[in-house]
Amino acid sequence: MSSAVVEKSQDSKSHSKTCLSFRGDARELADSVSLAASVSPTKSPRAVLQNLLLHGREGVLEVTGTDLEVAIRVRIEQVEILQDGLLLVNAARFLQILRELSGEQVEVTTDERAGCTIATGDARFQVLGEDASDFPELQDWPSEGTFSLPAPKLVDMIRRTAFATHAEKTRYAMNGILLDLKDERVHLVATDGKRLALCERSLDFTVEKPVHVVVPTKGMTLLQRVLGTSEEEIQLSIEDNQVHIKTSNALLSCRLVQGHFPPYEEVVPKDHDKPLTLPREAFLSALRRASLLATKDSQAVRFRFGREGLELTARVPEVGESRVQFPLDFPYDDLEIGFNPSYFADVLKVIGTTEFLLELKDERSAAVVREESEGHRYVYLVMPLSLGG
Amino acid sequence: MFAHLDLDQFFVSVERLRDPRLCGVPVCIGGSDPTKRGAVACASYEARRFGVHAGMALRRARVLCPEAVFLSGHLDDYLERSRNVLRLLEERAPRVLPRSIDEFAIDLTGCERLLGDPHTLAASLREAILSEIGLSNTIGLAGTPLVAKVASARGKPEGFLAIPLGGEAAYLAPLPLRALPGIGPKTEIRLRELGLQTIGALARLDPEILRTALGAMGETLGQRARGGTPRLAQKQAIVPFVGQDDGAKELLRDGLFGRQGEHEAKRLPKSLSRERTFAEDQDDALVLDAALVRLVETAVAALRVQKLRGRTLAIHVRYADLRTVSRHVRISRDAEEHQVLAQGRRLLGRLLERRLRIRRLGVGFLGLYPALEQLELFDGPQARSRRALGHALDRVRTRFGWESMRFGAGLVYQPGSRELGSGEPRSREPRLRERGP
Repeated sequence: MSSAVVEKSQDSKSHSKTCLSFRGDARELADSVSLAASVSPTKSPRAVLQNLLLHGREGVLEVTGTDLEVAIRVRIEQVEILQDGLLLVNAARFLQILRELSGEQVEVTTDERAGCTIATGDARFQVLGEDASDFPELQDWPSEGTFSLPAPKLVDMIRRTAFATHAEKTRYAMNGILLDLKDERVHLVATDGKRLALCERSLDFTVEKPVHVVVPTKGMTLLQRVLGTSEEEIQLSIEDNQVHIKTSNALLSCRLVQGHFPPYEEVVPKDHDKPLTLPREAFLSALRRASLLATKDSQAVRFRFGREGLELTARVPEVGESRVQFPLDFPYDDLEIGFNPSYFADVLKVIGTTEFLLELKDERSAAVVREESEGHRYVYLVMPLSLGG
Repeated sequence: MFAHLDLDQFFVSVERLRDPRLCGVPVCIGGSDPTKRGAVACASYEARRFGVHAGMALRRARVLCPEAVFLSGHLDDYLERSRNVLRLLEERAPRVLPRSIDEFAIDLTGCERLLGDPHTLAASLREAILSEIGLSNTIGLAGTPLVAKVASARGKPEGFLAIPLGGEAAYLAPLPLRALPGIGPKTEIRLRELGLQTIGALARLDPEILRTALGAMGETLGQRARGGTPRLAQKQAIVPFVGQDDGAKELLRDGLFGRQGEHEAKRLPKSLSRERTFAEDQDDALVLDAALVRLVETAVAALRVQKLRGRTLAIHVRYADLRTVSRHVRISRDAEEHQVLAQGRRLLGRLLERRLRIRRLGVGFLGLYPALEQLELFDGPQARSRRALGHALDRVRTRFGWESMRFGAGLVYQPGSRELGSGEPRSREPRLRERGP
């Protein structure tokens, strides 16, 4: 099994001699450290992974965290490195201290026994550290085979797809987002088998070597967090079964999800004959009202489309029944179809427009939410619930 | 007005239609060998004269009435005929609710102008079931479903008992406490301790005292003693369930009486279980496994028909020393039948570590919730056909009877087992041949 990091034997002596020491603003530190700490597992058979590796050199502090699937190294420049060196410290504890000291200047110093002291004007924490040489090291940035993507485009695409991935690990290939680069287009696709989100954007360059990889959801959402509202261009590189991503302040390595991603283009319907344009806010609110009584075990709303409009009903055993009328023009044959309302709520939250296009066919075919514009295509499928009876 | 129709000695009547030689002789349905473990599901009036009644152990029935004919019965046939009765009633009466396999509540409220006098209608229904289906029956007619039921029980057999409107409480008053539905031996003792002998005395008792003595049930009983409400409440049909077979009849009843629909905003059952008592205490791993397979099969099918799923699987075992032990395991939301069975086998394996013979094996599902069938985008042919299998099985069984199709692993024959509806004991080999691959 290959991992997101390469385990290198490091010269442990050189670490213990160089004692890291730096000074900085606790809040700024906490922001950056939290990115790295979000990767660190809270429980792991390899206890060393619960730590962050802090490396100060050339005036920059680098914080590395990994769970062997996703690894991230964050660069922090707004610190003053007093002495170059390494420190391995428990991620959760370090972050908690920094957050608590928010707004103050902190000074972190390492001592000979690989422990560290975090000090502000009136508080002082002595935290036991661990031997930095035990921590796996991040792989080097590959020298070739890289290409770049604009961050805002990618962030938006992740936001529109990540929610549709499978939360459980049982269906392995669905526990990630498919990154598909071909010709002049990039696709992100996510599915949990019951719904599917597909986002397609055009690129301003032609892809030389097509890419078709599944990136773990965890890596993608981390990237989304790292990029935030940044306008930069990011660098991507795919080699073996890893994807490496370089941003202005971080380096991410992700082990790719092995396994066959389902043939998504085949399920995107082309023969839906009942298109509807609906107001997003009002529809979302009606849906929310209809599912007010829903419990975890009974997430089902019956959609009854007819000449008089749409009626949403939900019957929840042990609780009660709700019925919501939604005016709309439905110039087709009557249709009765069941859905998990949260699948709709999810997509309506990420769509930015005031109206959206909903396409239906029959009670056993997926409903399609579609958004299309120049250089942009977004398709979201939801499979219905069989209402039986 | 409400009518309550009760088929007289139903199982026995059906057996007599199948074999007229049984007419006039005492008959007990429940097992063909009264020296074995088992219970009487239905006794003919001839047998009842000797003190035999439903629920009694077969061995005891044999002592009381040695000349009785003992039969294991034909469950599929009973269900088929019960369905015919229901169909006939539904054709001719406005609203019919099956109360059990042999009892039907009929709502005749407000249809005098359409259907004529309720007395005449009820009498014609009684006559039609006798002449068209061949089953003798008793009808009680009263202003509330409860009193109609009591009247039908008191009017048996082959009776027709009408209670005048408004006379419900007066009719109940002189009757013994046990005649009121809901009063069993235990409750009767409690009420007798309060000095009550008749339903009338119960009706007159201060509701406060009743509540103190019996809790919430007390209030219900007091209200029933005064005649009950003139409303026909939808109630789950309950088959008089005496034998401890694998519950196939409950499954078919569920399918038969149309509880297959979407769940109303109603209370859900909390648990569902199927159990089986072995004719002889059992330690043969093969037999136990086959019994487990059958129990899981029936329990899963019953859940499927009712569109329910269980959060927890329980395996109950009663050992030869009468100690009862249960083991539980949580099952995942999309676990399929074969996965549930595998879990059940693991639990049973642990229970067998006690190295004692097993008297009774049970399979239960707890924490029931409605099963919503979420359609899949990428359904492979395998997953699709596995899902379709269950529903196909249900359809075949509803048409041709529960025994028409079984899983092979449940077919290991256990000599001497008492199984309602599966006929005489057969040796293992012929049975497997007979079922085919």
